[in-house]
Amino acid sequence: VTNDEIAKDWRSRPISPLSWKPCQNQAGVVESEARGCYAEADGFPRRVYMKPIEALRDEATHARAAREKIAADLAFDLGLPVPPVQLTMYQMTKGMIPAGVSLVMYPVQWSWDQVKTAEVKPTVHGAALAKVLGACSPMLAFDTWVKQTDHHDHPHNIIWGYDPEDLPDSRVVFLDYANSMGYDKSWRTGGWAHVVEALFPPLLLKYLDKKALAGAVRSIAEYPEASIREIVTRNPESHLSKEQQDLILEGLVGRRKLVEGALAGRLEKTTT
Amino acid sequence: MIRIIYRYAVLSFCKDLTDPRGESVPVGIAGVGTHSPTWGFWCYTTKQQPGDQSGLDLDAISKSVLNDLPSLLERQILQGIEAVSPKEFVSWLHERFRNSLHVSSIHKGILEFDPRDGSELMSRLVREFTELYKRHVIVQPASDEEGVFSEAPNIELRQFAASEALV
Repeated sequence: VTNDEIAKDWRSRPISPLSWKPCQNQAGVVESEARGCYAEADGFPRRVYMKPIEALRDEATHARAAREKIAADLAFDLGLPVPPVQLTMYQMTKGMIPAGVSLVMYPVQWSWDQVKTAEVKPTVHGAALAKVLGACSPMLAFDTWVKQTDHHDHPHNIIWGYDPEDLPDSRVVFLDYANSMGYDKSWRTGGWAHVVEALFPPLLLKYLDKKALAGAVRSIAEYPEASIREIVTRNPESHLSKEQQDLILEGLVGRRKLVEGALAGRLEKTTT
Repeated sequence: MIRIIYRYAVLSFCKDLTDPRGESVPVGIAGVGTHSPTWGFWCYTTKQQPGDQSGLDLDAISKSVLNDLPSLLERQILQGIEAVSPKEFVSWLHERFRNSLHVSSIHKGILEFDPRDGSELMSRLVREFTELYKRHVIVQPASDEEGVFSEAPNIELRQFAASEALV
């Protein structure tokens, strides 16, 4: 099953019909980590990352899984590199928690902390990576739109992935939108209208492609309100309360046309 | 008699993260230890050429990154020693090694002995980390001479001025 097939399916069906359980090999998700785990389901041939698996005190308003789902669906429509997400429920010892599963997209994935230091070196790794950095530019517009707060130089929320059988198709992929879209109450009472450039990795800013960034800014400004409404309001109340739906909807619709102003300096300064 | 407490991480590589049954192969260990609030050491132990010796049929990029693992680890350790306390170091390292090349487990150990001098202390620590390497990384020892030779670890162990003692 290809990434594209799964992404299309998960965009059309927000709730996973499968029962997810932790994988035996957690491959880097070690003891005491409460935020998420690698998971699998009978009849599904791929590994996913499931989170959250422990509720925060403010889970009802933070709604981490729903924010991940909304970001994934918006990115799918805009053709941007965010893994597909479906919603599910995770059985904790204390009861059920609203969770999401995010597709692990590539057999080989390198964490940003490893990528950012390898780029400048004349290695096979460095040479291949240099080709894909410029393609990340649209994500600056996307992260600004959804007020992503967790990228910058975060050690592993950005990864470089590829299939060894199809190296030319390698991509830098942006993960973890749990802390976005005014999760910190900053979008309340019109706060969403304060749009500033999202924190973005310095290495990606160095390779910024002005044309690609401008194209993404335009696509976001023209993205239909009806699609935003469909993506936000179809989240079940178990994952996203009506109050949070309204706040996110208002923010995303209102911010679409404000992204250009927030990135004006970047669009003018960068040369390609 | 001195008492050295250390914490270390096992680093592993998973060839196919998309496969729910994909296995991780250990390629090295890295850790820190202290015997007083001001004296610490850090150490990493890897295969000589982890990319060539992983036993996996790797793509050129994975091979290149893994063969560069000793210098990658040294860079990360020096950065971590500056950034966080010995108590936080292994967790910090875990945050840096996720995805294909990842921290697969975290351990703690205690060593009590009576060294004659600093040189004996360092030799004993090298032996200790060589044993840990054999336990975690050399899962199936080679039977032939060439294989045994290649199992000799690439080890780096240095002292540093710790900011606190591990407990």
